[in-house]
Amino acid sequence: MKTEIKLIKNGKRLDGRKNDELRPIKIEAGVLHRAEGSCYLEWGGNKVLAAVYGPREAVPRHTQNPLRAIVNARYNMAAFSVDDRKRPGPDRRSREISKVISEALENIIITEKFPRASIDVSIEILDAEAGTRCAGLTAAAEALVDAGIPLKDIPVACAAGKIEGEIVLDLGKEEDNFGDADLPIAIAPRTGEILLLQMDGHLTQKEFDKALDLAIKGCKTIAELQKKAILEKYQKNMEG
Amino acid sequence: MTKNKVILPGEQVATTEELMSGEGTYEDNGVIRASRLGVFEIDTKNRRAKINPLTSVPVEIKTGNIVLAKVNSVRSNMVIADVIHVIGKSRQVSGDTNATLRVSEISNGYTKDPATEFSTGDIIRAKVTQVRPSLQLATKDKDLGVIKAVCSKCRASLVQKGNMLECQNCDNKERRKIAIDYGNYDINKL
Repeated sequence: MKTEIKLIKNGKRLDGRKNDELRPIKIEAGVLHRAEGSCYLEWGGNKVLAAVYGPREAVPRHTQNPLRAIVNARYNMAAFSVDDRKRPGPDRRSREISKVISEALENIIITEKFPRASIDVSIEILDAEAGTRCAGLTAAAEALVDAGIPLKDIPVACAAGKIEGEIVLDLGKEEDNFGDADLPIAIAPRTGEILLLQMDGHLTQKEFDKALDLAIKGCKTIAELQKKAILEKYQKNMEG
Repeated sequence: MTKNKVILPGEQVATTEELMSGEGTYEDNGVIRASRLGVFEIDTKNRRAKINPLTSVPVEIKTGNIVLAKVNSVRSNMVIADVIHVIGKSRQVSGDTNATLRVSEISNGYTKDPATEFSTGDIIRAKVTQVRPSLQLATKDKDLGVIKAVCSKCRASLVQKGNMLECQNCDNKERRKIAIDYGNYDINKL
C-alpha cells in the first residue's frame, strides 16, 4: 500500500521545515462566553476549540467519586474537519483519544478539591491535519487555566516520529500517513513528568529515546507559547 | 518577589518554612506553588500564601454562605433541598449540592412538622451552617425562607396575603416559612 512520496528533499521536509522544527502555532484563550474557560488553537492546519465546564455535580450519580472530581474530556472531530466527510459522532478512535486525554488531565488537576464533581472538557476538532490529539490536549490545558481550575502545572503535548529513517518533530499530514512511526506525548513541563505516551509504528530503543527527547523539547517550546497566550489575555485586563 | 507579577499554575511562590499554603496554592515537597493564574499575596495575619485569581474561579460552598435551594422532599424531621446557586457568585455550584435542613433550624419558634413550613418545589433562601461531612442549611432569619412557591393543588404561583400564601387560581391558602421579600426577589440581582 506504500505510495512513493519523497518526504525529505535536500535536508528539508515537505513543507520546508527542518527536522526539529514545529509547525506555526497560534493560541487564544477565553474565546467562548458561556463556557467557564475556553481556548482556540491553530497548529499548522489543525484548528481546535476547547471548552471547560464545571466543576459541577457529576451525573449520573454513580459516576461520582466521594474523594475527588472526575474529569470527562470529550474529543470530537467535526464532519468537515477531514478531506472525506467524517461520519459524525463518537467512534472507536475518538473514544480512545477522549479516554487518554481525560487520564492525562486527571493527573494534573488537583481533583481532591472537588469531591463528587465532574470537570467536563470538550475538545472540538474543526480542521484536522495530523497531531490533533496533541493540539486538543494543549488547547484543553489552556482552557483549564482560563477556567481557574486548580492545576499542578500547565500540561502540554507534542509528537515526534520517524520518516525515511530520520527522527523528526511534529509530523505533518503526509509524514503521518506515509512515515514509519508516530510518538505523541504529553508532559508537565515543569517536572518533565509524562502524562500521555502513545506510539504508532516501530522504533528501536535508540530511536525511541531520541524521539522522546525531541518531543519533550517540542513540548517545552509550546509551553512557552501557552504561557504567553494566557498572560497576554490577563495581563491586559489587569492594566486596563 | 515583585509586586503585581502574574503567577501561572505550577510556579513556586514560597516555601513551607516561610508560609502556610492558602487559597490558590498547593504544597509540593516543601515548596508552595500556585494552582491558579493570579497575583501572589501574603496573608500576613495568618501567615498564608495566597493567589488572588485573575480568572473566574469555581464556586465552593462555605459555611456562612447564603444560598438559593430547591426543596426536593419534606420528611418528618427535616427537609432535603438541592443547592442551585450561591448568592454573589456568577458560576455554578461545584460538587455536592444535596443539602438538609433540620426542623430545629427552620425558624426561631418551635416547628412541629416541616411540612407546615415547606413543600416540594419551593425555592428557598438559606444559610449554610455546615459543609463537611454533609451540607446543612438554616432558615432562622427574617430574610431567609421561601422566596417562591407554587400551589400544591394547581401549581400556579402563590401570592403573599399577610402571613399566608394564596393561590390566585383556586383560592387555596397555604402556610410557609416566608422570607421577608417573598415574591419581590429580583432573580437578576443574584
